This record gives sequence, structure tokens and C-alpha cells, in this order.
Amino acid sequence: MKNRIQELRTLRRITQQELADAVSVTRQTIISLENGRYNASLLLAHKIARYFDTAIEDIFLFEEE
Amino acid sequence: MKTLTYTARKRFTMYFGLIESLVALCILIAGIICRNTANILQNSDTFSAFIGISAGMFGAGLATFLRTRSLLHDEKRLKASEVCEMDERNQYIAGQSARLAFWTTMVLTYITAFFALFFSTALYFFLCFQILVMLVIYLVFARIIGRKFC
Repeated sequence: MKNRIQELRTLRRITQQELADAVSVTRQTIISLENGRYNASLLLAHKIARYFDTAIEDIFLFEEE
Repeated sequence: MKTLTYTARKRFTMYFGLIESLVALCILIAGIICRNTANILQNSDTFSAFIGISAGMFGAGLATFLRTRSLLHDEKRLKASEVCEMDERNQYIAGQSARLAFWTTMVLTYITAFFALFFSTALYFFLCFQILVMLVIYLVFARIIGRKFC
């Protein structure tokens, strides 16, 4: 699953640590999410979407295999 | 179901550590007194093992108590610890590691049991019993945890 976290974060000039603090995860989790090495849970996806004030499907792009 | 807050859980861990160290200390003192007064723990190997286990338990309990106590007195470190412990990626890693460790232990114990058969039947049965116990515990927990999601 691809995501636009890095794009949105850069656009709003937010650091990885700031985002991590806002959604109560470690910076390493944000790095893994941005690199696509880890898929967020529904709860975390919801928190991130709420933080960016957007819909989940606008951040997390589901790709059918 | 109401769950405890992180601070409450840490406080519970702190008191558990304290109780553990006190119980271990009591066992240690009782063992030493019994060795000197009653006719138990006279074998030096048994006594060494007894001292080692109870002293280890005392040390672990005391370390848990002191570490958690210092954590509870530092708001910044407590928050960082909560984020690190509650982080879903860390929990996922811990879960996967535990799962792999469990099955690796099972396979290694099974292989050891097979080779143990050539040397000692008692050891073979002991290892088979250990595998059986682990499997039963696994099934019990799978059932309990499974019910939570029904």
C-alpha cells in the first residue's frame, strides 16, 4: 500500500518527529510508513488522516494486486 | 472492558517488583536459617542453586522496582517510554519475534528430544512433556484471545 505521508508532511513543513508526537508513535514508525516498509493500522491511519485534516483514502492509496 | 492507564500499569509493575524482591529476600533468609538449624539444603550444590535462584529473583525484583520508580518520577521519560511501548510497529515486531521464537523453540526441542532418545529415555520423555505443555498453553491462550474477537 502506497501513501502520501511524506508528500503531505513536506508540503506542510512538518518534521517526522512532530508528526510522530501528534499521532503518538515513534519517529521510526513514521520513517517505516513513508518508506512503505510498514502498513499502518486502521487506528493509526485514522489518526494521521485527522492530523492532516483529510480522508484516509486521500493519504493511503490501496493498490489491487 | 476498561483498561488501565500506562501510569497505573507502571505503578503496578513497581509494586510487583517490590513484592517480588521482598518475597525473594524472605525465601533467601528462610533458606539460610533452615540450612543452619534444620536438616534441609545440606547438599552444597542444592544450596548454591537455591541461593542463586532466590538472589536472582531478589535482584530482578529490586531492579524492576528502582527502574520503574525513577521512570514514574520523570514525566518526560515516562511519556517517551509510553510512546515506545505502545507504538504499534514496536508491538508488531515484538509479536512477530515472540511467535517466531516460540515455533523455533518447539522445533529445536523436538530435535533435541529425538537425539536425547539415544542417551536418556528420561530426558526424552521430559522434553516431550515440555513440548506438550507448551502446545497446551498455546491452545489455551489462542482460545482465550480468540474469544475476545468473537
